[in-house]
Amino acid sequence: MHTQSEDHALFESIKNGRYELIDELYLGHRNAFVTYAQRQLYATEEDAADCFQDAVIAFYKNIVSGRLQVLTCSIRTYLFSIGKRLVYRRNHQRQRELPTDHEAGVNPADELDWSLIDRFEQEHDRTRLITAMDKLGKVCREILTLYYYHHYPIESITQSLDLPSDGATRIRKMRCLKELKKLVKET
Amino acid sequence: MNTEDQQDRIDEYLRGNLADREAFERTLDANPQLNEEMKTTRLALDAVTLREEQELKERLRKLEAGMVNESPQAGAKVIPLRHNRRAGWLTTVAAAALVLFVAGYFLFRPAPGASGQLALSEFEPYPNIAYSITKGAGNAADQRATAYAAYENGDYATAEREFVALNTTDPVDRFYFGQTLLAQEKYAPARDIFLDLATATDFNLTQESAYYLAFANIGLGQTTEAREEITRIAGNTDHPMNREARQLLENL
Repeated sequence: MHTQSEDHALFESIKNGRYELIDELYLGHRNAFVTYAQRQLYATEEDAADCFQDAVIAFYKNIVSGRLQVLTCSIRTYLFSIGKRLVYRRNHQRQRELPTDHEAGVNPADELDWSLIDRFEQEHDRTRLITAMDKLGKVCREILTLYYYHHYPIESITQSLDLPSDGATRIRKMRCLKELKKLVKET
Repeated sequence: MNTEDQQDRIDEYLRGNLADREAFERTLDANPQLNEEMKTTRLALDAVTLREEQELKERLRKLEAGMVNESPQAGAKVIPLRHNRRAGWLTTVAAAALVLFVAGYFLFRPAPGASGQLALSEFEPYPNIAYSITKGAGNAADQRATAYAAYENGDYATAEREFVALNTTDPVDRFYFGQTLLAQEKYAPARDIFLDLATATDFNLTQESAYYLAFANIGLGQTTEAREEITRIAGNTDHPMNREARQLLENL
């Protein structure tokens, strides 16, 4: 279990763009969550692990998007509340359990962005959009991902991808987005 | 507005950074071309998100596969964590015995204080999220494993003995030691432990400890002090024990 100061250090590092630290989040809390989900939520090990992977990603996304700016509870508490909701949802889909009043009340998972999860439950729609992204060139994919997903500032993208200047990165980003918009319309 | 500016504003809007969102939404309603650009941009950003989340998911799946395929180390000792039929049956019997015991306790003991009853009826031991596997690293690890295994099995007397023998200053162990005491209605020693933990400076269950400290105080009949703390927790929606505190407050 991490101490408060370890949690805060990890949180700040992720905020500063170190996305690879999701490995540490996962390895640090996975076993406890799977145990908890099996015992308390009647999840299978596979479902529990799968939901916890999504919880780690959602947590990361909340941090980099600025939706979560200050930790008001331990990272474990936060991950558990997101993971718990995902397990309820999965159980409901598998009809293991009815939807529930467990979700009532204020919860760290309230900050979770469910819109994307809800809009793209259909595998076909997801695949269509991912295919559009795959058709872009590698550099374009990286620029758009670093900018729009990981919320890197333009200057950091210039450095990370070894591009000639911030201006060039900005123009490139604009063109790449234009290209992607064309592709999502076509597919 | 040129195309670049227009795209920048759409970006800022979708990223939640646009200052005057309402004005922009009015412009969107009045301008079908801008609205169309917005929809396509939203889809493009969804594509970025879905693609990257697929990558991150793959990264975590590989970690998971590594964990699953990892062969246990020599001498590793795994505490059984999954429900199995026998454990389920034993749990049922244990639960029934506990219910009978509690019922008998209330029926035949001298009239207890209402606060003690309440504390007993509301108490649910905190789930063991601290300790699952021990790698057979020696006596201390075995003792800790035994303590947590007993805790998970609801055998709080054994858990208490093992925690005492462990004689640890680790705040996590002490937190669960405190739980074993609460589960056995040993409120006075539980209060001392949670008092320490609730005021610890570098421990991430201090808020939970504050709740259990109040709980121990209820058990000791010090309801005024406990009620103040429970009210404070119930009023703080960010508190991890907020829901439990609100439920408890309803019954106080």
